[in-house]
Amino acid sequence: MKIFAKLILIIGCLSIFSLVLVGAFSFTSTKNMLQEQIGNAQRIHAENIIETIDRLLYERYLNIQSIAEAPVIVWAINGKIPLNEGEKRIKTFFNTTGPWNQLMVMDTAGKVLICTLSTKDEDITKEPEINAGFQAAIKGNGYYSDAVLSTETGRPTIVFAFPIRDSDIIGNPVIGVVAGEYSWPVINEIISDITLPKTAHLYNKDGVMIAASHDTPDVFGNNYKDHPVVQSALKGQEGYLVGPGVGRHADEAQESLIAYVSEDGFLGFHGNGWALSIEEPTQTAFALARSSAWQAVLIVGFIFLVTLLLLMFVVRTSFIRPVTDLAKIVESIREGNLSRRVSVISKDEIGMLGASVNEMAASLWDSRVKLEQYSKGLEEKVAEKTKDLQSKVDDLNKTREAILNIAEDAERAKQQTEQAKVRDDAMLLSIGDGLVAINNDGKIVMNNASFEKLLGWSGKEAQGKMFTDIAVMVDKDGKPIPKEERLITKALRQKTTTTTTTTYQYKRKDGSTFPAAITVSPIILDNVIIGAVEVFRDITKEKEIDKAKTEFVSLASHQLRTPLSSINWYTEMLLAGDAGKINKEQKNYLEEVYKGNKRMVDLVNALLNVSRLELGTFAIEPEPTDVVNIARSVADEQKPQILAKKIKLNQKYANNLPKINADPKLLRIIFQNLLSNAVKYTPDQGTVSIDLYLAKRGKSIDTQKVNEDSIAITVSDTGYGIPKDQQDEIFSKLFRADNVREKDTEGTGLGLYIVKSIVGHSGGQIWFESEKDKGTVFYVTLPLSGMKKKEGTKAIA
Amino acid sequence: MKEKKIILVIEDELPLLGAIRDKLAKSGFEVVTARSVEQAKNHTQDIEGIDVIWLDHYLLGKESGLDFITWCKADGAKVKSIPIFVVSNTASPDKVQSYLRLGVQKYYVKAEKRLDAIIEDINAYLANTNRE
Repeated sequence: MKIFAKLILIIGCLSIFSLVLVGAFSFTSTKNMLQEQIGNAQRIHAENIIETIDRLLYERYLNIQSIAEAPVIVWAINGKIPLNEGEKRIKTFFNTTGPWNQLMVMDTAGKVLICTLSTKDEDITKEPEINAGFQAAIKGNGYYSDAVLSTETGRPTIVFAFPIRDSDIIGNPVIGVVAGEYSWPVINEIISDITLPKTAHLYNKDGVMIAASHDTPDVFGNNYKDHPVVQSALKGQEGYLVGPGVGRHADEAQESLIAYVSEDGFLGFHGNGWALSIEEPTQTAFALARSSAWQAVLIVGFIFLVTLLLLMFVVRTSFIRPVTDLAKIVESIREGNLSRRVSVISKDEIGMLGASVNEMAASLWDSRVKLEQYSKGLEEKVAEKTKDLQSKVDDLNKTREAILNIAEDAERAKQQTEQAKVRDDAMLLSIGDGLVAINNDGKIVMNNASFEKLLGWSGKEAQGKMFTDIAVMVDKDGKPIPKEERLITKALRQKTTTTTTTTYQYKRKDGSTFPAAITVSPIILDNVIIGAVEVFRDITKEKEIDKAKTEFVSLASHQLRTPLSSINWYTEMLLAGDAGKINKEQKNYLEEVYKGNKRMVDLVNALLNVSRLELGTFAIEPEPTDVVNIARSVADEQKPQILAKKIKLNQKYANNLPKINADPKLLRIIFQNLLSNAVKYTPDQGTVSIDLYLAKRGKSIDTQKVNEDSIAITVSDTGYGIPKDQQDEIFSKLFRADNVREKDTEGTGLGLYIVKSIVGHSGGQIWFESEKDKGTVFYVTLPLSGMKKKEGTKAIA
Repeated sequence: MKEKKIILVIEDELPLLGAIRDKLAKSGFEVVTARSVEQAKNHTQDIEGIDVIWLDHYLLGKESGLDFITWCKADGAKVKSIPIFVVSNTASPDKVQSYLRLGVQKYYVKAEKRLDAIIEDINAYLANTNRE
């Protein structure tokens, strides 16, 4: 069917093209032909009209001649009968010929002898148009004028004149003249015998319009000698043209069909060289031509279409279908059905093709039969050989079975390993964190889908490349991290797993970056590092949340402290007597307010520190720090309270303590809390001791073993102690033991929680030993290796 | 030498400003107050002989105490040498560091410091510089 579709397409395109051409051609040719006919018809119409006019004028010419030759008239002029006899006769002529405006008879001197109007004695020289006729006739010639204005009636007319000759005298001398003014309306009537929208116009030889149908009278007398129609007609030509009209259609935008003819005269009347035109707007004149043209187009189109469909049908039945059938049969032969033959065989090329196919199928059939016979013989020979082989194979099979048993065991083991590998691969590929494994040269050997998604490198691109080249790492200022400092490079050197503490950014393939949390582990086989695995995660969202939280904390700290400052300062001023002297009771109360407010400030500070610790947004800025110095200064700060409670403070600092790399602010918080707790929760005249000393790794302090070389801090007191049943909760946030809550309302319940957090972040240990009403000992270890630098958005206040 | 020291107090919170003003007045200062950096700048231009400035961090308007100090210290002649004490509740170390780096005399956390303690410090500082 493909060929058929192509054919339809090609023929369809060609047909549309030719249909358009044929349509356009038949439209224009039909239209032109019809227009020519219409134009010619109009011209013939015009010829008929002008001929009618000529014939009419010719008859008037004959009338005048017959009047002049009438014996009664001749006799009346030469005096053979009285003049009034002639007058009577003229009146009869006036009524039977014409119609005339007037008829008159003059003597040779030009004196009017008879006149149908009452101007008998008038001098004809006063009527120049009559006079012209008289002058011509007196010389013996018949006369007719052009269209002229009658002096008598003031209307257009044609003057006819003829000499009256005395036939009784030899030489037939002229004895008078008969003249007649033709009545013009007759001409107008002839011209107006035409139906709108057709109009007719009559021009004299100068191109002046002398009569018009359906037109207002003011058209009359206008000169149209410049109009192409009038020009052609006055040259004696006849025809038609399409152009702007003359009369009532002149002003209209549409064109008119104008036919024009010139006056030829009729027999003895030779005419005045007039011209006549008939015009009609093309819209109505050619309406028939256009509609007929459209009809022609429709008919041609229809015939074309029918022919086309017929052609399609023929093409389909005589070409496409046989070819399709042929294709089907060839296909079935190809499939092995060699008995199929092409049935429709025509005498054309398709038929020849069909015959060839049939021949081919037949020879294929022969070949197959031969082949089958041959293979039968072969089979018998093979069967013999097979028998021999069979016995040998049996022997071999036994051997093989033995081997197979061994192989089966190996196969099972292999399958198990493969399953495990597939399981591992699936696990690795499906985890949400980016994962990459490198060999000991730093080249990528494996990565998972998240790696591709996060870094924008496809596995194919990444495979075999240096990981540090593909995944460029930059610090927060956008500076690249040198290869040697990358965790993955370090992992190839040391056997420990490391995790990033500072935020690094990974650069994607497209250059964009994202903050990443990274964990790297070396791959160790037989105690040799053979590569490393890095797991990384996009922490953009976490960073954003952290930032939002930090901003909240910062704002809250400011907002909470402002009203507290206000209370603080006004109470202070009242207490100082700034607003006037206060009595003792007022002073006591104000002091309670002041103390309460102070606690509130402490609570706010502690809460803020807690939130920072919990958010992990606090910074650790380690610097070489003398721990003893800090302990001393905190102890000094506590002096007022210690003195007030008459507590004995023992300070014992080992002198071999090195400076450690730690954040002094955080250390101070540890000491402040431990020491102020000891002082707060020890009754008057009790003892508080602070002891700093070096503790080697593995050494036991109290019940615990020290994890690594550390500075040990012991803060002990002889205070209220912590009840046994509440010791588990002592590091909990906002927890305060019942016994101290009874005794003292101060305390936020946050101090030890903060201390434990800081110690935890510093890699140290904290624990305690306590007995109710005997006292408490807090133990803290701070590793000599110091605190790790951590960039936070907030430092702890 | 004039009898009273002139102190320009820049603080946006009215209750706090009231307390500071009263306490300073009682302590023998002539107190000029401003609530925005703009106002403070005008005062330093209009008032002769300001001896010391008390400055908060957050102020009315877009500009903060840091902007004010940056302006003061860049100005060169007139106000550059006036000692500035920052008293604010915004206690983050990086802000404190910024202020100290710009050359303020001291940074106090409002909620944690008594008014008379701050005034004592200011008096001590002024006495010291006068002696020199």
